[in-house]
Amino acid sequence: MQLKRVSSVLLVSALAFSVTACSGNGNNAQNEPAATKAAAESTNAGGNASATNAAGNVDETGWDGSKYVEPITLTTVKGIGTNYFFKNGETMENNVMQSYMKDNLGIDVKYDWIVTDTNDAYKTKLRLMLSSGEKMPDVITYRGDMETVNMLIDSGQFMDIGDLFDKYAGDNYKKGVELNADTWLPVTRDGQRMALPVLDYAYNDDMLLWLRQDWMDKLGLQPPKTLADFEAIMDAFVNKDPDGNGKKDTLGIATGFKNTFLGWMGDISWLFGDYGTLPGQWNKSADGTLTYGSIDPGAKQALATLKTWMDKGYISKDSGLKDENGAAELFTKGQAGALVGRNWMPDWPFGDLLNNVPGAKYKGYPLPAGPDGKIGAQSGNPSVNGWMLINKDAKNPEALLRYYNFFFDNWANPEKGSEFENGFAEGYDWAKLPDGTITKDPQKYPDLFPDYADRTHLVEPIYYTLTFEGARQPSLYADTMSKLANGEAPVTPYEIQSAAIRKPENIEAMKIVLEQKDIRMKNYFQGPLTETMKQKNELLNKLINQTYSKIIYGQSPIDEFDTMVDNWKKSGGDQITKEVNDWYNSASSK
Amino acid sequence: MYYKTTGYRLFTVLNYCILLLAGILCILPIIHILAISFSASAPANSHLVGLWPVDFNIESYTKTLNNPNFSRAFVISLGRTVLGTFMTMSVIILAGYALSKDASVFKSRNIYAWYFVFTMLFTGGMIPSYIVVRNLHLMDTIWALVLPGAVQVFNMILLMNFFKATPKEMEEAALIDGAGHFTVLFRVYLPLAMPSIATLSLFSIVGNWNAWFDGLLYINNYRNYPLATFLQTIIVQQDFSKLNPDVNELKNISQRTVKAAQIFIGILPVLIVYPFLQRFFVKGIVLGAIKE
Repeated sequence: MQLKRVSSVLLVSALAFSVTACSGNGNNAQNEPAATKAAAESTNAGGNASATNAAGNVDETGWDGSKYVEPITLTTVKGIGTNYFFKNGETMENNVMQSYMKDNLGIDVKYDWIVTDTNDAYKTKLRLMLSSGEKMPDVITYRGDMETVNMLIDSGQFMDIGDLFDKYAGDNYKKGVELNADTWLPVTRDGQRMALPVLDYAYNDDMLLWLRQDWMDKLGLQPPKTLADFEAIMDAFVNKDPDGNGKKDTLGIATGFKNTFLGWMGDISWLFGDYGTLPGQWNKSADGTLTYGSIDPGAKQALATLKTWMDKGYISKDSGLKDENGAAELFTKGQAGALVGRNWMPDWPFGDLLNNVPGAKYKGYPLPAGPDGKIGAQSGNPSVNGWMLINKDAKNPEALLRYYNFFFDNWANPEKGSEFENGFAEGYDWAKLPDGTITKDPQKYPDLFPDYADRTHLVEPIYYTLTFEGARQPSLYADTMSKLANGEAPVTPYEIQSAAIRKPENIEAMKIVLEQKDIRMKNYFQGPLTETMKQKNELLNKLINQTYSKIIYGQSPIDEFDTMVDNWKKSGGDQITKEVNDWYNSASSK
Repeated sequence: MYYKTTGYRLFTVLNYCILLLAGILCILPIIHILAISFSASAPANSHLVGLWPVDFNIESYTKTLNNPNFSRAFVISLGRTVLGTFMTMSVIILAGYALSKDASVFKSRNIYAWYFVFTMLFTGGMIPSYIVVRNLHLMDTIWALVLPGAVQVFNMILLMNFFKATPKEMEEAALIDGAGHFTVLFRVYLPLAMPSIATLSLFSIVGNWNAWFDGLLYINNYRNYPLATFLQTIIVQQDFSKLNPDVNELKNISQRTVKAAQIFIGILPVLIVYPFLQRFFVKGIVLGAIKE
């Protein structure tokens, strides 16, 4: 009786939990038909642009050369990143940036909704808008996967911005776009340009080799030129007890390939590059066609090498279970002696290494060359870091370009003595000390940075902009860093700032990246997912990742690779290759 | 006596072992989070913290408690939980009482019962719900969080069965003494059903406190997020692959200790409420137990 009671309690509570669990994750956005095209709540695009001033130099949009005579409204939606900090009393809708743009340009930005953008919350809300048939705001800015950008374009609610760009984009913006011949490729549909690129600093995502310099010095090792050199170094890291604790607990290189073999930190794709291919992307083959790097014969050699590394303990036994962050942790806790990553890693996460391991030192090196002298690495961001779409019904579609131009002209690389020389606004992201020097330290000078909610962060209004971080000239960052690395004195405000806040290791790393820029291997496929990709990608990626892991862990012989390639081709790979090449031919012929 | 046999003793020991193991599995993650929240950030970010804090400090707690967004979300969640639980309980008590009557007393009982069960089995899904909430102009209000989930059909059925199991004679006696339905419900049924009410309230409290997805969908301003949504947005790993070379930005990333502190404060209310309601559990949701 007692027992019966307990078991029925268990049963019922289990039931109750399963019911609540089921109703909890109604995450079936894709399958839901967009039933009713609901009359959207009035998003009220565009304000009172009709009342145009008749003064001579005011054009038909109400622009007098520097501002809208009658302020106009731009509606948009916003995903707030983790770098958005506000002063007490300020919000996304009401802050120093908002009022500056309204007062000085006559552009009033209004938000239909605002979401904290982690875990794809912004994407979820956008897609919800799309599938519920809600009316889109004047401007949508998106930074993330191309698939969502394509969905937005395909919704048909946005305009061809080609003519607008040609007519209204400023010289600095145009120059930045021209730097990269393929900038428009991903958003071109039937010759129409459907979205404006958000430009970012070039070379910022490129890879270099970081080594524990204190270990190198202790063991008397020389910088690696070739893969063989590097293996010797890793061997010393593993077997010669570089951390001096008497235990064999160190690794050669920190890496993790749980999700991908083409990671953004703790990357291992460079090893494939040493054999002439890069996995997980579309490389150009000798005959000019595009081929998938993961099935390239070079990948087989790379996997064989990786297996020996696993056997010899150069990489962690858990590498197959670690993502990028997990890989970096191996380095920052002082267990691994090498890591392949980006130039800015001294700022994060290497600070943790210095805290965890007193006396640790790290230094950047060029990637070593493979047995045939080949080196290859990811080409990082193609200086585009997001897209902006403009609604067909927007009253002032050109306003976004004027907004962006303003930041290109005044913010991206300000002159000495100009308005934004030190930052956006005094008391926000900079302040002047009594002796005239500029500080950006709210912790040390609380009086100069009033109304801060949290003094560990600098409040940077520039992130509140529609265009993510004002504007960035793609070439500026790399040029400045290499200038500084060559020992030249900083002159412009941007250079002076960079020199002041960049760590020496970071400056040096950027120089290495630029010296090694010929090793960049571009992903040539930038179009929307092809039909077969939509159906098969998941399956094919699983096939590849599983086979790769099995080979590395020694569960399958290396020749399993060839079987996998056959399977890949048969299960849709050949079709995808054809579609990718068709896309490339049609896109590049224009 | 059967409980003195070796087999029974063995069974008891084994039972305790399994339950102990299950208990440890539940408690370890909480201790781990607690340890991280009291650690310095560098070891926490490199996964060097196990069950004991490294470089003990309480900075992450002072930071969390000074964060206006956190406290606002906490208050919103409290309000939502109180309001939501009150509404759910009112609705399911009233509906459960009515449906516990026979079809002879309450003529269209079966139609209503099927109506409820139907909604339990078939839901519209995310997008239709979203459209309904939007067109009712509930977006961005606390009602969007409370109303759509107010009728917990499964809990209502539990309560209905509990009412049904209450002896008819008690109700009849009350009716003869001149009581109306409300008096019967509040003076006779509810006092007897207290264990069930307490248990179902706990379900509702926990459910309201932990729900995060509706906050994300229906709240258009991040400053009005309930706590679970707020925590969800800060805890889940961000996409670092989109990082820009902004030194000030990079400095702010390592916050694992603060996240841990926020998680811990977030689960505190439920931890506190639970022991007080737990004793009702055993009696609370027993279906069909004999009470005569």
